[in-house]
Amino acid sequence: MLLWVVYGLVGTIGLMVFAVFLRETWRAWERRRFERLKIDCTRRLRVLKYLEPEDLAARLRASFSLPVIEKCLEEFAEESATSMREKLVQVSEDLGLVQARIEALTDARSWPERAAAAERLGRIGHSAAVLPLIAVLQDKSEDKQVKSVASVALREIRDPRAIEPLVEALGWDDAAIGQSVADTLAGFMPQAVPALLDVLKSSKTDDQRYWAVRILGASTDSETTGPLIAALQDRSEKVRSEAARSLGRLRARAAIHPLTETLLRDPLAPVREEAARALGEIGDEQALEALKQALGELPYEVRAGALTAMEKMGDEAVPLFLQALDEDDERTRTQAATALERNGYVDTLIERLADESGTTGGPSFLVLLKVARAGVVESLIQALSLPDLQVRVRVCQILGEVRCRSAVDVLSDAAVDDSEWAVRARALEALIRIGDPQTQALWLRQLREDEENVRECILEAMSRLSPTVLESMLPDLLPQLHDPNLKIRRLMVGLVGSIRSDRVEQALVESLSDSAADVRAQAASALGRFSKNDTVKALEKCLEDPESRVRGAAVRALGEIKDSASIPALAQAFENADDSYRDDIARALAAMKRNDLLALTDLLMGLRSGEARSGVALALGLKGDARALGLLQTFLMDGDPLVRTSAARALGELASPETGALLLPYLEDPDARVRAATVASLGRCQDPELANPLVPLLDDPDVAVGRQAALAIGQLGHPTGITYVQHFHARVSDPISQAAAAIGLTLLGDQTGLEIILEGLQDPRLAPPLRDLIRACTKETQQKFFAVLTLEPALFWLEDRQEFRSKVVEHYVGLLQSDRQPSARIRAMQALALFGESRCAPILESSLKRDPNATVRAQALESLGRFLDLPELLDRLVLAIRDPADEVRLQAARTLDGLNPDDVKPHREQLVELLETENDELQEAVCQLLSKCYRRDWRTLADRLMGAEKTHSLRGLIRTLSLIGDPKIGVLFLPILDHRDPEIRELAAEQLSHVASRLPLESLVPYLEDPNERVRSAIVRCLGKQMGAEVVTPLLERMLDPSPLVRQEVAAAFGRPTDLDDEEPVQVLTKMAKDASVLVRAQALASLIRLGVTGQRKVFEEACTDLDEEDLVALRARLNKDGTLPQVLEIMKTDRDAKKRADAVHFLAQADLQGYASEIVLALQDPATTVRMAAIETLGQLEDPGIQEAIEALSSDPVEAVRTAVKRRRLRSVSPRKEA
Amino acid sequence: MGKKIFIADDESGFVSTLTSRLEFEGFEITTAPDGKAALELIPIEKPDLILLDIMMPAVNGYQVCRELKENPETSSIPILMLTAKSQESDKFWGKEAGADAYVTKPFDMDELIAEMRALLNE
Repeated sequence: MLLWVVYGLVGTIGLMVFAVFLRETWRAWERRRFERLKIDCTRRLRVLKYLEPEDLAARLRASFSLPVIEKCLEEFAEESATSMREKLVQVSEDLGLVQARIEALTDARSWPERAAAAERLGRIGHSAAVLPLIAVLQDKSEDKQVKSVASVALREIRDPRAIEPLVEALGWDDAAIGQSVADTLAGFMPQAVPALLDVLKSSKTDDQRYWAVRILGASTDSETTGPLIAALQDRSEKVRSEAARSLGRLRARAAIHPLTETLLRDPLAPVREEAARALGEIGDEQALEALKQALGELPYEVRAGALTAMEKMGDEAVPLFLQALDEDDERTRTQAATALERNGYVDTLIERLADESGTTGGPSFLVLLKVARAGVVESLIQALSLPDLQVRVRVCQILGEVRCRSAVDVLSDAAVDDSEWAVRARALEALIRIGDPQTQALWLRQLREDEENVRECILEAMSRLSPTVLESMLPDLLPQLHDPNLKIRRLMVGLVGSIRSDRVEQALVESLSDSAADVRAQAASALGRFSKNDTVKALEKCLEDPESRVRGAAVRALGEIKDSASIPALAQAFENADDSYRDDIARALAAMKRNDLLALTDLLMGLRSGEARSGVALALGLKGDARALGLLQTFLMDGDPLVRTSAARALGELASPETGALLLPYLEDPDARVRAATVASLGRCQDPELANPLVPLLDDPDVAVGRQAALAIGQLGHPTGITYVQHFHARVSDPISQAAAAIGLTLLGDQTGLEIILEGLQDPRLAPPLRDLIRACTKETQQKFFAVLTLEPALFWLEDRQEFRSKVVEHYVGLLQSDRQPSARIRAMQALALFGESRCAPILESSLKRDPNATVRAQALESLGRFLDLPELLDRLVLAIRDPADEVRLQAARTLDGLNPDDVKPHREQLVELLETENDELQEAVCQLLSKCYRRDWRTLADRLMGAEKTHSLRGLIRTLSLIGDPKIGVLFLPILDHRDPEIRELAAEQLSHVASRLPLESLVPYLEDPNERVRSAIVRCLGKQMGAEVVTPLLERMLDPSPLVRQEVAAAFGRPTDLDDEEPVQVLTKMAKDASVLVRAQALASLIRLGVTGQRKVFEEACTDLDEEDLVALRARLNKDGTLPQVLEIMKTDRDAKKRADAVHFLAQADLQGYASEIVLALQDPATTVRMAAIETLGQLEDPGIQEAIEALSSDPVEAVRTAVKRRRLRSVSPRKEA
Repeated sequence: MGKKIFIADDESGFVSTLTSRLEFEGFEITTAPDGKAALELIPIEKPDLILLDIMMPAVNGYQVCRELKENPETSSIPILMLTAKSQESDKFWGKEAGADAYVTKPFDMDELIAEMRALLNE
């Protein structure tokens, strides 16, 4: 059964094969027959071609089938002239071939049949096929292939009727057809031009306009230029791009300007790029000039295109390409570099390398470096075979610098085969920089080069490799530690020193015995980084090395290893340490374990050399262990100032309140270094109260101590320190002290500190000490300093002045715009105002209007004053007057006060309203300002005074009028003396006494009964001013006034010079000199002296000693103000009576010795002995060197008493120091 | 007082010949037998001109030249390299190291002196 099935299958397959064979045989026979018939038909056609189309068709039809005729006609048409082809078309129609194909085109079921029909129709070329072919194009369901063939057929038919539908077909959303249709339409040019131009004008379809531009651009019709230029403004970027491209292709010179506009203004980069290319295509001078001009304004994405276009400019474009090498955009750089290479400029630069002097960095070298960085290296690689040595060397450097991997082969060849070792060295250096692992063997082989410079170069280049890479090469590297060249050995130690390996450690220990100190020092440093205890012994040996740099390196290494076993050796090392590493020993000791160090106290204390003890003291401080306090205290009492200095510094490292107490006595150490170290350490104690004892040190004879004190007071942050440090700053002239004062003030938060620092950093004299001092400060101080300045530390260290200024301004502008805390914004405003940075004016305006913080608003107003013109500033100030915050209003008033009163005058009415404020400071400022604005027409204010009801307003008006100071104003205050408010009465009376000239006695006397003692005393003062016989009686009545204040005024009044008989005032004053109140007594005595009554001096001195400090100060002020002191001074200078002059000297000294010292010095030259002696006695209390010198000059005075007085004073001034 | 010339060369015979001739010309001469000594002495001596041999033990002439030119104290002193090496690389490397002039041994003494005077602006 199975066999039958098999037989059946085999039979079936056999039959099928046979059937296929039959079919193929049949087909081949058919083809041969068809060809034979076609040849016959063609032959017949050649014979009958002169017949009319109808006859010809009939004859052919009679002998041949339609397919044969059709094929025959097609082939014959291809080789025939146009007239014949037209006849053949007619024949085809007569034979019904056209119709048949049209039917096939429309009705055939498969697309290949329809495509074949379209193709045939195209070949036949009958116009009847145009419409059906167009219909195919329009049929959305038709296959794309058929449409494409139909389009080609239409082109072959070339019937102008096809133009319109074809143009329409351009708008279909089908790119494949679009291309085909466009190609077809291109065949209809120039007939299709008008239709295409219409499309450009009116089509709403982007694709249609695009294809229209494309076809027009391909034609050479001159009419198309205008529309194409217009298309540069098309809404579609596709159309604009194509228009630009087309204009370039057409080389349309008329389009240069529009293309330049497109290049600069088109919003899309690809369009601009096309415009650039088009300009390049147009290529004439004008177009290239346009490109050149536009280049600087182009964005990166367009520049590359423009550069390509500019290649046509030749050498003229070279500067532009060179410029483009610095662009940020990589594509632009590459484009420029490629252009330079293509036009041969790179070769020129390579040639120039030969003449470039200097090591590296010549102009050609730098340009070539940029070219290579842009990836354009072909010319450079080829240049390695040039004969010039310098060229080859520089090329190797460039290729290495840019790590050019494609140059590895050629560099490897140069590294081995170049005849010049300089090239071999640089090639190897380049290879190492490139770092291709496959070249490692080559580097190591070349380490055995005879030329030591090559070896040196290799090692220098290898020093940039990572330790891991180096470790793999260790066996080849270690032998180089024995290179005869010292530098190579040194480089080698540095190189292997980065590799952690026992073999390296062993090799480095051996290098500690190298003949060259540099190598030994380098090896010691490397071993320190290894931090292994088994190298300690070897390093300890190095502490006895004859070279200090080796000893220093060993010390630092031992400090890194931190093995306590090395403490004795390190301590001993102080004995022969020099300045270069003494601190390092201290640091090394400080790195040891605490207990190990303290256990060796006896050893440390027993060190013979002061340097050693000093170093140990410092180490203990660096250790930061409070248990070392005892030891440090001992060191503080050391006889060697160096040890005391170190101990003081060490205590600063520990910095606790306890250390503060320990240090204070050493502020008086005879050695300035100890005082300076003590001051510096106290500054670190964080106890603001320690600032007070530091203040006298600002005047230390050693300037270093003074500046340290300024810094320390700043660090301690006691606000009272500001005045002292400000005085210090005003007094010192050397830049270091000024810098110290500026830092101190900044740390104290004083604004002048900010100003000095920011200006100082731009001053080449002040900037270095400022940076050095901050560098030497502790981290905490630095942090505080930068926090107060609200400045990034990195900016502080910028040394370039221009860069500093611009970056700091940027920083503060940023800060001002940020949401940082108000203090930071205020700091930014102050800084920007200082820099005169007008960019911040709008931000300041905004802050003034909107900032919620009043201080910020006030600062904004102050800073704006530096930027705004007067009218604008006045506007802002007038607005600020209405600000709800007193702080802002006060600032506004102060700023207005700084302006010309005539400018402020128009706004003075608004200012008067401010007088109602309860804020005294603000009112005072406004009064000052108004007094200037109303100086000429104060009567307007007087009217307001009469009508004022509010107390504050009244007070303000009184003060303002009083400040105007016109004597006529006094009368205005008289009615106010009746005011119900005693304070107002008091103020009016006070001001009355200031401004009034003579007033009617009867108008004043009633107020001598006012219950307010201050009113009474002011009235007495008024009366005193017009002292005369008529006021004596009311004044005498007041002698019994219960208030000492009033009686004191009476005493002062009787001291005034008058036309009275001298006796009466003297009698009154003598009586008052026995008053119960010491203040009245003192005043009465002063008045007596003023009147020239002698013999009162001692009583006055006694009275003064009875006064408390506050009253004494008040008395001095009063005596100065009421003219007593000036008058007594006059007596001292001019009175004929020597006794009076001597009394005057004593009186002035008692009243204000400091203030009158310079006048009393004149008395040292007085002809009268008593006066000179009085001057010596009084001035002797002062320690001013100038005054002491003046006194000393009297040691050769002819009068012995004077000489004795000088000696006595000398003894007095020496003895207290001895006691100290 | 003549200009101070510093000679660094390890060939003692050559140094003594050169020294006598230069002293005859009125120069004041200081010498060092190797590069290491030269590096130590030159900053102290502050000569007006340095004659530097390239092939010296321990530290060669190029290294001495480079270090002197990197040191602000000595960078302004002109250096004239003396060497028996005549390869192009040697001259190039000398220039790279900062040498101001280069004379190949053996040289004509008058030419050397002329070169020295040029460097000394005499």
